[in-house]
Amino acid sequence: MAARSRRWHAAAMVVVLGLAACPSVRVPELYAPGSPAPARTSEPLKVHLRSGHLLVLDTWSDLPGDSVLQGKGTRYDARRQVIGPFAGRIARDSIALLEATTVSTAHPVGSILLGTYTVLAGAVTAICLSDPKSCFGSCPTFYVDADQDRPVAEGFSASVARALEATDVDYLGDIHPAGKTFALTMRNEALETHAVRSVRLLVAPRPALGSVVGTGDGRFYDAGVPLAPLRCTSSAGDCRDAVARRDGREWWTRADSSDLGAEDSLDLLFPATPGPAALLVTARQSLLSTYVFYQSLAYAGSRAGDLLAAVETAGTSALPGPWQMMRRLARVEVFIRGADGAWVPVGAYEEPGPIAADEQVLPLPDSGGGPVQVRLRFARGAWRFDRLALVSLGAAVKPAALEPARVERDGRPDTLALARLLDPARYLVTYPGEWYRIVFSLPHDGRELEFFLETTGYYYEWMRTEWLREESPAMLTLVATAPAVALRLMAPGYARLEPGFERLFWASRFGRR
Amino acid sequence: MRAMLVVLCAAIALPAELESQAQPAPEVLGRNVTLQLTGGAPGALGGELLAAGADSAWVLALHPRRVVAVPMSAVSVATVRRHGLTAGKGLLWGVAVGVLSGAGLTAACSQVSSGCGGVMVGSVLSGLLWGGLSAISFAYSERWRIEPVAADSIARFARFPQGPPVGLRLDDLARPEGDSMPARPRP
Repeated sequence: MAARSRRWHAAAMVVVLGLAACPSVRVPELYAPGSPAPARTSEPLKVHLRSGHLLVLDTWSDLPGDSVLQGKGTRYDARRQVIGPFAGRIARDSIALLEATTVSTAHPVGSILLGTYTVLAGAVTAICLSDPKSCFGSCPTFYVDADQDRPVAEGFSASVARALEATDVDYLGDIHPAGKTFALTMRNEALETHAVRSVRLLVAPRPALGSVVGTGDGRFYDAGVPLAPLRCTSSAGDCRDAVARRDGREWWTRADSSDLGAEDSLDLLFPATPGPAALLVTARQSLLSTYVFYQSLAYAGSRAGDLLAAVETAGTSALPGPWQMMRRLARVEVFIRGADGAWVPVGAYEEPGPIAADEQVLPLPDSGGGPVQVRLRFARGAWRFDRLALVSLGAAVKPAALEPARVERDGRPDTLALARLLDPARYLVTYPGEWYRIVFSLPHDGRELEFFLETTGYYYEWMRTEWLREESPAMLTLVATAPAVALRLMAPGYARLEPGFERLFWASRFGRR
Repeated sequence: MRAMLVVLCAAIALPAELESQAQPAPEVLGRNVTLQLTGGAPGALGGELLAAGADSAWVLALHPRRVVAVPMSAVSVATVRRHGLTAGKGLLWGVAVGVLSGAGLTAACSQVSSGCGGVMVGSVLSGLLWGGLSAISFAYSERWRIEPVAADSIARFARFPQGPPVGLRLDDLARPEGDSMPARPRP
């Protein structure tokens, strides 16, 4: 209801602004000198005299018996220079014409266009000004040469400190380049320092049917053709069409406006599959966890560095509350329905990051050859699901790990960067706005391969001055000790940003050269 | 929220200001007209419409400043200013919003990232696009098109809708007081 109301308000604002910008049209109406003077309006009455002079009357009245018009106003000469104020009677025979003005409003399409543009530009600007945290990306992003706008993967999003360094594997989807080289551009698009230990390409022969799939714990399998669910039900209704194919059309809902930890679920029914089966999930996080993370840093304010230092020395156990909170948002729990009707937990899908969707499989226990009922449970509004499917798992696959063959910066080979990426004891450190083109040599034509990107490293957020303004020891305490309460208190702030958050995020990635 | 209100108020005030500059109150001069001429001297004549009679129309042209009388029979089409929101001002509005928005976005960007030069460029280009589309609309909307042209149809837009006042040499209006030069119909 609130969202509907806001949409009405936004539409009304556009209309009001469009109308406010609509120009007025003044149409002169002429009357013969013998005619009764037109009725008083807000517009003055112009009396054109035979001499060429003009009287502009603010007030006037007819005196019919005397054949005169009486009024007060200003007298102009033929050059339309002001002669002076006028107050008195005007003989009808000295009047050439009376001129009244009717005013209407024109509604050219351009006014609506400009009104709409002004409202949109104003809203985007105001949101970015009031909360610049909503206008940046995070962690290393990777792009293919053919599309430098939409990243195909993001590296180690959850590794916000050296102690949290991790290896992240992302499936690169339907990317099958021709030829025996493959290039990725790695960008640092935020105010962060990225420490990249390695970037490797994992490649495996592409099966004739189906694809190679990876699990969250680093295993790979040949898999059959994905089977779309027979039925998908959610709290918002039928979701089958949205999740049946990997087409970029995602199923998602808005977060709960009173509790960011509120749960949501999807129930799926799949047909029976022969042999071992796995749930194939293509999804990414919404910006909810991003918001919670940065808002928590803002609450920490001047103490953020201390807290991250504590994480460096003691790991996540130094701050169990925040990590519990983030884990709650960054996890999709998976259940299957047992023969007794009970929902049995079988694992979880965990892919941090809102930028690029990743695809993983979660092997399922034997369902006994019948249809498979699956339930996904997650924080409401925290996930965007592109595809949910069932696949038959084939043989285990060991992909070949390819190290970078060449690294380019500004179009020139960067041997130092290459050496750092190849040396497991060193890091390639990148700063905001920097980017590297990493080229791999393939063992076969790229059209015959499946690609996974493996990145290892960590990154540091740069503290922003404006975050210090939001420092709140009370909220920080809640984040640390009562994360469930903190999620409820953060909900209204996220609800205000959420409608335009995704659009803003994509529209305002910075640091490009 | 306060920043949003400032931006919106600025956006609303701008077109009103643009129009107020174009429409001094009260309007005591004739409307700006453009007369399309045919016959012996084809072309267009633009300026303030001083008067229109059965045979001639008088226009105060600005470059150079002079009063030109044209035979009514030589005027095929007249366009008269309808409102002050012209194509140029629409474009200016779009660019102004683009610049203001770009400045705000650049400020926001610079707080969280580097290399924000493209933000202003993108915002201004966006303003040019929206302003350009609006300008096309305003180009059609800003003027009335009158065809065929007769004294009755255009006289009300003249400084002297009654026709040239007796005893007043219209040519004098183009020159400093005291000077004079007879206005003659174009051949």
